[in-house]
Amino acid sequence: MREKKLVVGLFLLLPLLLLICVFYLYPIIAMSRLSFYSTQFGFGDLKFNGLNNYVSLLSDSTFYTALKNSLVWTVISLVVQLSIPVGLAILMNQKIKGISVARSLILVPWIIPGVVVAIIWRWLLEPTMGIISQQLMSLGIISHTINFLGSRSLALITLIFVNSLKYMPFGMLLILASLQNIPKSLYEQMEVDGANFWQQLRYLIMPMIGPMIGFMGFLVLVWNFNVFDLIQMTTEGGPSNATLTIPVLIYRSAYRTFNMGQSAALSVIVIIIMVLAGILYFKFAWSGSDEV
Amino acid sequence: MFKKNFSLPFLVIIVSLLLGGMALAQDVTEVTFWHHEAPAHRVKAIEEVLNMFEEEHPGVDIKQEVVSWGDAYAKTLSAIRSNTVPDFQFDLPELNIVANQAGGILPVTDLVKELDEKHNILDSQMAPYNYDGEYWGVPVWTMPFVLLYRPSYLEKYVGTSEPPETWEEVLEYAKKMTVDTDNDGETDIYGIGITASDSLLTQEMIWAVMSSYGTNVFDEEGNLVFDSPETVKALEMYKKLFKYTSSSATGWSWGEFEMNLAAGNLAMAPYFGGIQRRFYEAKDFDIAATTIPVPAAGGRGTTISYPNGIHIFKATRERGTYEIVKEFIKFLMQPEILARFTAGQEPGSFVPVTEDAAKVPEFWNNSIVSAYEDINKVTLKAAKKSNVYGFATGKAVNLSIGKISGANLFAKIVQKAVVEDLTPQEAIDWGEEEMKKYMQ
Repeated sequence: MREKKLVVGLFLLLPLLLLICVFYLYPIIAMSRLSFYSTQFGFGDLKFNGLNNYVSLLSDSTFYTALKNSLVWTVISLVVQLSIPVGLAILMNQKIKGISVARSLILVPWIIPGVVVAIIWRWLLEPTMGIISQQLMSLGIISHTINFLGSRSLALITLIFVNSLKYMPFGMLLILASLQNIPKSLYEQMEVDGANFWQQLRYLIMPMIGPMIGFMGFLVLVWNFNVFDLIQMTTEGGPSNATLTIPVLIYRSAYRTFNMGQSAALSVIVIIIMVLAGILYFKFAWSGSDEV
Repeated sequence: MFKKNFSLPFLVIIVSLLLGGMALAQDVTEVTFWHHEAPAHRVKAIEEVLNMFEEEHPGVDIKQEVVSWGDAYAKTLSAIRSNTVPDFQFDLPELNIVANQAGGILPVTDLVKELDEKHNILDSQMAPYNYDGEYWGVPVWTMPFVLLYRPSYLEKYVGTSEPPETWEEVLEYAKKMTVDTDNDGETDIYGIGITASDSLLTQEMIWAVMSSYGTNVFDEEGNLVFDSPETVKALEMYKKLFKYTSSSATGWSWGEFEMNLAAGNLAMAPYFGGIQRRFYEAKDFDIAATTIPVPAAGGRGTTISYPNGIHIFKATRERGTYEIVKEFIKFLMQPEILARFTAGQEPGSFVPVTEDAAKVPEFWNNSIVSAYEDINKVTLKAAKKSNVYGFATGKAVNLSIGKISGANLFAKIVQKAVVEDLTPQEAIDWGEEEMKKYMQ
């Protein structure tokens, strides 16, 4: 009986496994193979190159710039996109008039395609004519226009902010769902015991939504490390590589400088980084939150 | 009864229509091409020409498909690899080289020679398509840079109606036209609009200056000769000029630049004449153009232009569509058709590459072209003395230019000098080292 169930289970899993093999496993294997070849376009001119693509990549300062930017991007995004949605979700969990409208509206940035977000923000942030600089000037908050996307010191942090605005609503939605699973009676019991808001947050809310934050953390890590469209559509990695991240570098190597072998090597490195990050995350962060 | 009587003739009609349709479908040859001109008015102008061709050739159905420039390289390579290419594609010299190196396209030497004999194609526009002993693309239109300026600003702040002729004059005028009109401590008009972003626009702008000074990326034997006194002087001038543009131009691409130009924030700018449509729609006629200036000490005096051509995929041989594609190109290159095709798509920006198409009324009667007639005369003149990076010697002698320009290396050199404040010589040294890497 158990064997029969196992066979049925495997049979039902077969289509999914097949899809994974065709659309993920095969491309990964093909790309890994390509990373050992010297090739412009990934076909036609394949010459076995051993580890040369990896060696040249690891000796290129641009790679380290992109890696550093990707890490900064991911870490700051993790902090912003895990903390602010918690506050927003708690706010949206209150019984306030018009809260359902607010909940719907707050999802708008998440629904809008990345390309549209990029174009909108390019206009908003344009220093001479963009609305943000103009408004800050007219309110007397700044005395000179701010070069958000053209300054080496500001461009990366500006894009992290814009990107976080896009992803935060989704995080808020997940946490809100988690918050709504907390029985009302538990709040009431804590109130009877004289607990204030901060004590409720610490001893009731955080332990209850902890697993969700943990899961969200992994999503935020993966999604943010892989962001490409926003950067490509706004700064193309500039100025002076200040916003160059690994996904942008992969695209640049493949379709701008036509070094598909090196682009494949870079992709393999990213896969290794992401798999390691996933293993470490679930080993330390996720199981930790599960125990709470 | 009714049902029986009705069904039989109805069935006969349906079957006849289907069979007739199938027979007709067999007679119609379908040809597909990719282009990269997404705006609706450009798609419409292309469709008009296709309809004209199809009227003359009832057995042919030509379909246009828009592939954005952002996707053009990736999709072309994927299509060549999977043998799902269209029959032909519009290109730039870099895309032409990539499609050729990937083994996807056919030489069109005979066709180019025939069309050149008939319509006199500008030499400057044929050169980038001539490499490895063959022509690999048919140039159709070009996009030259000119120096745009606002005559009213020139008169008000410089006290002349004559545009600058040398880069030194450009610098002097830019200084005078950088003004705070309302005395609030913020500059309201910048003397010149040039960019230092990591973009193709910056690449185009710096090459307009470098080309004028006489920079060559390669010599006629294909050796790298980028680091030269002319190149250093050109970058020095660009860096000096940058003091009189908006500091936010380190992040500008086409959109932000055109917005500032149209808003009257920029007094002069090296750019395509194609800004005319935006000015025309805003009923703004305070815009004029002159050819790209030359250095006072003398230079080559050329500008940048982008030849846009057509390449034919090898697959047309198997599909039996090669002759039809050639026929279409010949049809397109007729002066009246080419004039409508270019002026209809982007008046003032898309300039016909043949001398005869630039003379016909179909070109000059376009409402926008005629409204800015003087600018368009300058643009046509500029097209004759123009080149694009890597092809300045008149021959595509080193095909690694595709990678060099793909990496936005000229823009990055500008960023090194302007954003990172390296000396022009240091920035060029850095650039030349990077070029060597791409040439390996």
